Amino acid sequence: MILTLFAIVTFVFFLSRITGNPFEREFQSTGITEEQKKELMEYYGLDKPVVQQYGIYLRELVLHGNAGRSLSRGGVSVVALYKDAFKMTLKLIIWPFLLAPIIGIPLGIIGALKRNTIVGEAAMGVAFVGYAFPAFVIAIGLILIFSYWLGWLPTMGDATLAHYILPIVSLLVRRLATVARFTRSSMLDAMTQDYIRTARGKGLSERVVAYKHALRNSLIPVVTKLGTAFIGLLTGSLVIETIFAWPGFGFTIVSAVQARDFPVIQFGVIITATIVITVNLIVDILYGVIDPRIRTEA
Amino acid sequence: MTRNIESSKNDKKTQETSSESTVHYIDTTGPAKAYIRKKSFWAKVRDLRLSIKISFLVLIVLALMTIFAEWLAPHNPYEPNLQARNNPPSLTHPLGTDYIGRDTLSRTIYALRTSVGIAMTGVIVGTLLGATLGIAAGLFKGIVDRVVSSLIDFFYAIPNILIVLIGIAVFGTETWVLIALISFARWHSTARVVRGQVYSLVTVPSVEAAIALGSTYRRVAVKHLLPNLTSVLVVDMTMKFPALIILESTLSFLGLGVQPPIASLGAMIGDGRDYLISAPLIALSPSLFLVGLVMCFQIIGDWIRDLSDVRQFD
Amino acid sequence: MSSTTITAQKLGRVVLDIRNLNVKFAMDTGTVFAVNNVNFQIHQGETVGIVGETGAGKSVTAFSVMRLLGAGGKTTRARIEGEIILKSDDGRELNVLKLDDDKLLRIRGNVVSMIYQEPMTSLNPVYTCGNQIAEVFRKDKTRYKTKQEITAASEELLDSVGIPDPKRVLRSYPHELSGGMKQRVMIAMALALKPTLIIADEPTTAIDVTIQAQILNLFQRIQEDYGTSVMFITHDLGVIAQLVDRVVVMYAGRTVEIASVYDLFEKPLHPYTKGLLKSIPKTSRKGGKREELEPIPGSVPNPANLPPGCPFHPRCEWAIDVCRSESPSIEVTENGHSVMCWRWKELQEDRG
Repeated sequence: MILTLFAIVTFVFFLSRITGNPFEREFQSTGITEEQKKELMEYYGLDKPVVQQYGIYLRELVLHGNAGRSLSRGGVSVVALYKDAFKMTLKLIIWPFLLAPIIGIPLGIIGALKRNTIVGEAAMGVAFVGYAFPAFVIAIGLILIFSYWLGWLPTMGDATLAHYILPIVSLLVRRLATVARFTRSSMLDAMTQDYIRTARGKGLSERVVAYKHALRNSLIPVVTKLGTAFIGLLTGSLVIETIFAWPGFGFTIVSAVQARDFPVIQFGVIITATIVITVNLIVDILYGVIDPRIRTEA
Repeated sequence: MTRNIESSKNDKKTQETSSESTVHYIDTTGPAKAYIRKKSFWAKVRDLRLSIKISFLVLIVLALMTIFAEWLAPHNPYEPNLQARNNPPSLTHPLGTDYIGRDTLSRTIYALRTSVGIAMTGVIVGTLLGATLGIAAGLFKGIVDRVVSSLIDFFYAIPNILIVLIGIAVFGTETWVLIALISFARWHSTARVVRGQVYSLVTVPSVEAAIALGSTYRRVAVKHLLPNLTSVLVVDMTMKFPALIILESTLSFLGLGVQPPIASLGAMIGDGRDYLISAPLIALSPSLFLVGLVMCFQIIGDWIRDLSDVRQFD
Repeated sequence: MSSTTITAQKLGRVVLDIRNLNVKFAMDTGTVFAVNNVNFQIHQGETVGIVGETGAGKSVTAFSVMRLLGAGGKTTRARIEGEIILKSDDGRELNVLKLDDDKLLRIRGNVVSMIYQEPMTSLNPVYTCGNQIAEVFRKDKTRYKTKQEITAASEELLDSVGIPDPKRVLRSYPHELSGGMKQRVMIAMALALKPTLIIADEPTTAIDVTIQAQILNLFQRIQEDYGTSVMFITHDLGVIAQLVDRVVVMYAGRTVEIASVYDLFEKPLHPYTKGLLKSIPKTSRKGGKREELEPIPGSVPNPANLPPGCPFHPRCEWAIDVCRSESPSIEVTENGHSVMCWRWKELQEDRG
């Protein structure tokens, strides 16, 4: 696990050095003085061999928590930059993360239990359509309708509560659809199991059979999907934050890529990988808590 | 022992009564045969859900549009016409014009072609790469497997977009970079799936026998494994294609994908963002195509997956 | 002559009466007649064994009695025709197939209950055994009101099926128990409300042979202690010989022979039964030589593709023309031994 992280850091680092001095572009740009150039070269040790640069970077990162300074944002510490950005992103992401299961799971259950009725098909129809629209398309559509035509909601920044709505909805739709579809298939799967037949054979009502026996079993895999959902939200934020000028994690990375701001990009990748690995770990542990079968194999 | 067998034809069975010497017939003239109707191909086609048929139709239409773009587009999609900027739909320009006067309809058609082309290349290259590595891992096992598996886990740990973003940051935004990166973006899903399948296939006696008898690995791969892999690969490719299209669109939308003047669906949507009020069609028509494409693939993908699913929910 | 033929008078009152049962499944490739004109009865306190190869229709018949056909016990693809009548002590008759859903739920577990083939998958893995047993007791609110009563009853129940540490088992999850234990838990669940009829679908097939013997003993005890009627499905003739009072032999969805267990083994009337008996491996020697195993030639027919006439004719050494074209009717002898064959009499008398 740490190994993977390590590999990723190394990978990104050397990758960015492949095309020569990563700061070449900056150096070409007009806004930089000789003084600043020299300072940068010294700070990053660009005159030293690559391996040594790597060593310096690692040392700084691990021992001092210093990941360099941003090139495109006037030398702000990368770590500080990300700290603020992350807070912003969390404020946004927490909503779709909570709302998607709250709305999606019941939707999926309806879709499963009322399979061949209008209600069930409608529920799944909604989920289906929602799934087909990539987040940014939804974002555009929503902007068009709610900002331009109706003038109800603002689009840029994060000033008021109203500013939250459009980005949240854009992120929410697809996640919700995914959760609903997955819950439904998981539920259907559970309903065909032998123990359901036993439960019916005992003369338990359909309600008990479905909500007590089937549901608990079908929710287990859904929980693990929450981890994926969180990561998906993070990547979704890349686009959505850019559209809505929401100064968060995604926005930072994208701008950094656009500006070839390598220190920022590097650290962004490292953070993302760390988060992914951590989330997976948490999901594994959660799985053990929820499924009694795994528990006793400890 | 049985002696008196009377032939009283009753419909009802009266086994339990205490009539000692009667023997009863039970009528079994009920249905005694089953019949099989094999459905013809066209009958099976007719049985498909409406949504699947529509999806196929739409995909065929879109495919045709992609191939025959040059004949279909009324104007040159790259030719600006500064006199006619952001025009609403008219006879000459059915979908209006964009901000430098290019015909939206033509651009959309070409954008479709670009996006589909890139995604298609990505799917093919990614599948080839992933399948080869997956087969290698499953067939040779040992170190090869460990290396490949680690690579797969590694790539799974970083979200797609990020990989591509780094690549772009490093290599720039030329088209070939884009194509290469997108191909890379999803190889691991194929690899993992193929590897799993190969693993379960390799223990099948016929394959083990072939290996034991000395067939070269290549021969084993081709003759034994490939046929069984097709279903898995088809499902995987059907899932990959919309994913790659969305990936490319997202990137182009952010300005990091195809560069102007080349049009792709995502790029047009991104461009059109600034002109949503004045010329909404610039963003809307490619959106329509994009969503349509994804939805059709989704429907078909679900259907294909249902086909290989043995469970019956009735 | 055998002096132990069971005549109609010795049997108790009828508990289950299956009449003209037909079960059809609508498949993509056509209609499959899984159960074809099945008629038999089960009397109070008797154990009836249903024998046949896989696909003969035994399980389908059994599930039809509780209307549990299909994945997870619910299906819309099966069409059941005929009557399945349950008769209670006070003479009331219920046609299972025509019951509305409420009543069906009420008789399940109370009047009829079932034990399934795979204890591994038949118990819900996320709930404790105690929880799942309590569910059955909770159905009878008059006798089992409080949690303590239920727990006490559960412990007693587990004890009566031979489980050594009932308290622990009640607290355990299914996967923590061995196969034999799980099966006992299932049997306990089936017995909890003292049903009139228990249906056991190959309960020993998925279990080790050594445990099998214990489970069979358990069934014998249940028979003796509770007087419950049992429908026991199996493909193992050894189990039949040991446990069962009467036998229903099924082939391709039809009951080809019904007899008391003694009659069946001593005087089998149907060629299929005779074949089955011949293919039991025997360790005895006849005249110094070990007898050869004689399997029945051919294989079980595909229920979707049955030949016309008697379903067994392709594998029958005595088949004649009428067998190939017309399905035989079922004939019943005076001691309740029924057989579905054109030539059973001649084949009988031949042996003299």
